[in-house]
Amino acid sequence: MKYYSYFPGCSLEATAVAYGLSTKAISGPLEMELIELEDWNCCGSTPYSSTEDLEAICIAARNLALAEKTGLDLVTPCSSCYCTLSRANSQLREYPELRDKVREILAAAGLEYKGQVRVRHLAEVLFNDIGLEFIKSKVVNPLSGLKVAPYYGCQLVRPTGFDDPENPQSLDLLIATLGAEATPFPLKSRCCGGSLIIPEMDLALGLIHQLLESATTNGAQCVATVCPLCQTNLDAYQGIVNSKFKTRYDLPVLFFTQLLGLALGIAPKELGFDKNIISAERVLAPFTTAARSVRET
Amino acid sequence: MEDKPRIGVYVCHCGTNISATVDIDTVTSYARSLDSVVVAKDYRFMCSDPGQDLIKQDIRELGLNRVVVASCSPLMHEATFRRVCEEAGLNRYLFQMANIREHCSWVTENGKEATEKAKALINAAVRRVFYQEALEIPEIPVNPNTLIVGGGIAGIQAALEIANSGNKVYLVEREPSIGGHMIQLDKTFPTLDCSACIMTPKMSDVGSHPDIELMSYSEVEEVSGYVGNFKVRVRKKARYVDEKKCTSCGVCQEKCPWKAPSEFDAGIGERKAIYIPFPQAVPNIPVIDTETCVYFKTGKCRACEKFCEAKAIDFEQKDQYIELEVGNIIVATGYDVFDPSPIIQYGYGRYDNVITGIEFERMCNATGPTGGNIVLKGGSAPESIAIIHCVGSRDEHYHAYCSRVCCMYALKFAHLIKEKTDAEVYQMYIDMRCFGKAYEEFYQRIAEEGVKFVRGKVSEVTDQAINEEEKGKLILVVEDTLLGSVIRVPVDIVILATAIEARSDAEQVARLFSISRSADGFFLERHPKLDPVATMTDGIQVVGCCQGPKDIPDTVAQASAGAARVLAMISKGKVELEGITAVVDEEQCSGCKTCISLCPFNAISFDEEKKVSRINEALCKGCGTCVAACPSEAITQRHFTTEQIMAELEGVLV
Amino acid sequence: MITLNNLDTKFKYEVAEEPGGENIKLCFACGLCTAGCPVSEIDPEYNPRRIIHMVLLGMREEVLSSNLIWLCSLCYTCQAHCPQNVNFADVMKALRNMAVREGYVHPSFANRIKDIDTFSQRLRHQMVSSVVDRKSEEMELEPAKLAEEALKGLKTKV
Repeated sequence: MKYYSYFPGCSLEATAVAYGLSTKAISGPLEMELIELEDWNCCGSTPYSSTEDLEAICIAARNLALAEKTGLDLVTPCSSCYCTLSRANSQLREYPELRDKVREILAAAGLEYKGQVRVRHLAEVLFNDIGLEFIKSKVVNPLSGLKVAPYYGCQLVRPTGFDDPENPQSLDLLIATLGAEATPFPLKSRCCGGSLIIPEMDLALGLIHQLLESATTNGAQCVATVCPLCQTNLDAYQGIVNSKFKTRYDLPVLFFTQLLGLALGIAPKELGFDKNIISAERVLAPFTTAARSVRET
Repeated sequence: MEDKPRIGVYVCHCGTNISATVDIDTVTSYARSLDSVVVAKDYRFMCSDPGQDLIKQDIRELGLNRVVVASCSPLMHEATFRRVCEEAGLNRYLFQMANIREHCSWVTENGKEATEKAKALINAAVRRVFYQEALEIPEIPVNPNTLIVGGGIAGIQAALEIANSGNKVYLVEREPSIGGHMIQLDKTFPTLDCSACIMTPKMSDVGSHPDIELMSYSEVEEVSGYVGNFKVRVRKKARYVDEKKCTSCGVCQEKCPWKAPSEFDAGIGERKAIYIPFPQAVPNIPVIDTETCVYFKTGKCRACEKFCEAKAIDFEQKDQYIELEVGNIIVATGYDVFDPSPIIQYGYGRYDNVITGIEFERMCNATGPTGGNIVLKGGSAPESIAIIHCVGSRDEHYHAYCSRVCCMYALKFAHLIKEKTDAEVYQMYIDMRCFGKAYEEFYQRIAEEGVKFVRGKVSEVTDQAINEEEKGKLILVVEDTLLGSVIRVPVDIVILATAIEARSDAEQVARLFSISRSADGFFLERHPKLDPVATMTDGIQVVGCCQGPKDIPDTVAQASAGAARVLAMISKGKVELEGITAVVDEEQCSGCKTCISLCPFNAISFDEEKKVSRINEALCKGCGTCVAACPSEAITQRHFTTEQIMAELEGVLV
Repeated sequence: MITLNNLDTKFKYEVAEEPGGENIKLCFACGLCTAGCPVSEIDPEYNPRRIIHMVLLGMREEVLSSNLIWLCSLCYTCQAHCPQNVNFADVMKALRNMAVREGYVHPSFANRIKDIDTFSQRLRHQMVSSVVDRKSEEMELEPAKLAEEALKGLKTKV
């Protein structure tokens, strides 16, 4: 069993419930103990840091200080939290003046930031710590023939990611491990628009449109994402893209943990498939029945 | 001490470099007040002729026997003032320098503090010089033979310059033939001479020169000794072909059934397992590549041997070791071409028609694998070609420096494409750098030929078409920064103008010759402007691209400069050694031999009769290792005696 | 013709002082940031290279009052390959913070930006509920409507 301090982040509590559910569900079979960070707060988030950088970094630093006390690596499935927390971590290391200021503020709350905690993304932990070979050994319901577009988005691979920012491979390999086929996806680390979807919707819709087009033309039956923001933008706004660009996309956008769970033989309802807006039922039918029977036997 | 010390102190203003911060009058009168100081003077430029004369006159007229100059760094002018002392009849080791510029006025803003520091530094120098003694300066003869490492254009040029003066040169080349990168090039900018045409006469001169011993397919393994008297061990790698018997008929490579990518053709063509790298190779003797040769793997084949009428094939040949004695060494080991595969977004290795500059040179060359035709993989003619500049250069992720030749060779490529095809040519550049003689004119000529220039760094090369015209093409995405718009440029071939980088084994080579490297990985010259050929190790020169990226004219000029340095040394015939050596007090030596194993120059031997260590002064470099290590304190280093060092320390501290 | 009055020669140094801003002065305007920028591709008015150049020239007013600095999606593509290691996304954050601090944007706009996360969570929540409640046929236009209502203030900056 491997132990981690777990930072779900706001999205997994509210909108990306499926991501939270499926992450919890796979942790047991993959022998990871995800211990939720006690009294965690918002990571500081991207829009916030655009207007109040000091406040935002303090908010992040509070989580880091809490995590340091556990002595475990801090793991989050949310790319945005991963980016914000690890960026705060590196900036606090690089800029002593900023660090002193933040330390002072944290001290008022009885906390201390030493700069010793490692912030990690769930995908990276699965790839590096758990390992594809171990995952493969646990696959009981291979997703044979399923064509999946591996969508990394930005913040897993940039600015401080663990995989190549231009042509990352880890998710491709993970998808192959599950028995599915990772389709070519040239825009695999292209931006989904992130939170621009709110203030600059037209701009973001343009980006989402490009992504859906690229995934579809490359033959994907569904998209696997590692980020709640990407998932929301591609899933929830697919209908609007269709009406704006006169397209007919019907592409399920799944969290990679949902596919992973399915391959591990976990029941679909434990993986939150009912929370996806574009239904994956049709595409996943051959595997959901199999999952049920695997479970029953 | 023979005479009572009579010290003269000379304080330099260095224009205003020192005097703007340090109060010269205060410092000079302070110096005058110090013990044993007979005279203290100041002058605007102590290094000028009148400044030097001032010191000489005082030595003669006031009977000075010690001199201190307070001015700049000893690196700058210690040699000057030592010579001044000698011209006035004073041994050079009776001179001491106080650095009140780099160590004081340039780094101290507050005038008062600077003045105090200058006083302390002068006090230290005065106290030290009090104890300094005259030392003998040994001279040794210079071995007139020269070792040149690397047989590219730099090594060839230097070898011919030296050998033409009647002196012996050993030219060691790692590859089977000399020629280096230049012989791979098609044409040369800006005159468009055929590279092979201007180079092969020089190569053939090297091959037949009575005073050049060419050691191809050989590597330097060990270097010891010092300027004037180096000892070098060279490994002559087994060619498996007897050079004396081989008639260069070429039948062996014709009959050999096994193939590998040709190094000479930058991997775009093939050669055999036994091969002469290219037709004009010097020496024109084949070599067997044991990685590819099936006989070396399975013990079967021997086709080459069967067909060789001269019976020159020798599978039993072994590496040979040869010891050389030389007085000077020229390092001309050249450069590596940057491998663009890590720049994933440019698709090198992923797309067939993304190629490097050196690959294009071979494609363009009539003796190359396409017979000089510029074609896509598969053989069809291109409609458009783009050249991406600064690939691996001017990029903090790879090399921050400018490789200096890419702009020009990219222009040359454009001309060759225009000459041989109907293709459109795009240059994607950041800045055009056409600095050499007739280079700007060449740029204008290419612009007139209708080449398109796009100012911007390409963000990616992709095969993902977004319209019909782009289908089947490679599309470059770039901001044309002069238009202020992002543009997509569909082309058939993309040429990456790859950087020049230090050899991958530059670190080992630097260690082998005891020379340093600069931050960019190239070998470090003694001074970037005034001594760009010598290294910090006497007797070793660096020339050509191993010292930094440069074009052919600069390489040839630097190689000639290196040769001139060597010839000056040979014609002088002798070299002065440092008088600062270590000496063993035989009374104190306990014979423990600790010093012997520590000496990096093998300068210490053991006198079995007297049971004491003895230092060979010709080999001792005065590094002080044995002095510090000797448990009996029996070893003293001349010019760095305990007395002298303590006096200097006291001078700073009081 | 643009008349460059009110040039603020200290502007670039201030930006360089911000965390991540230090390399901005090294920019040699190669345009790699713009060429790779997904936002520029959709909206060509948005040009990172030009924004950097404006900062370097000292066009403080023009930059901080511009709507363009709010278009960056912080995807860090520009930053990943910049040959001079200019951390443009960080520069962007710095510019936004300066714009807020110096009153170039209305406080309510800043508050709205801060609340984007909450808005998007709520929005998505409603969408998911509507799916769960099987009201999917109405869903198509709903997010747009919801977003518009929730973020009226975002369109008017000052």
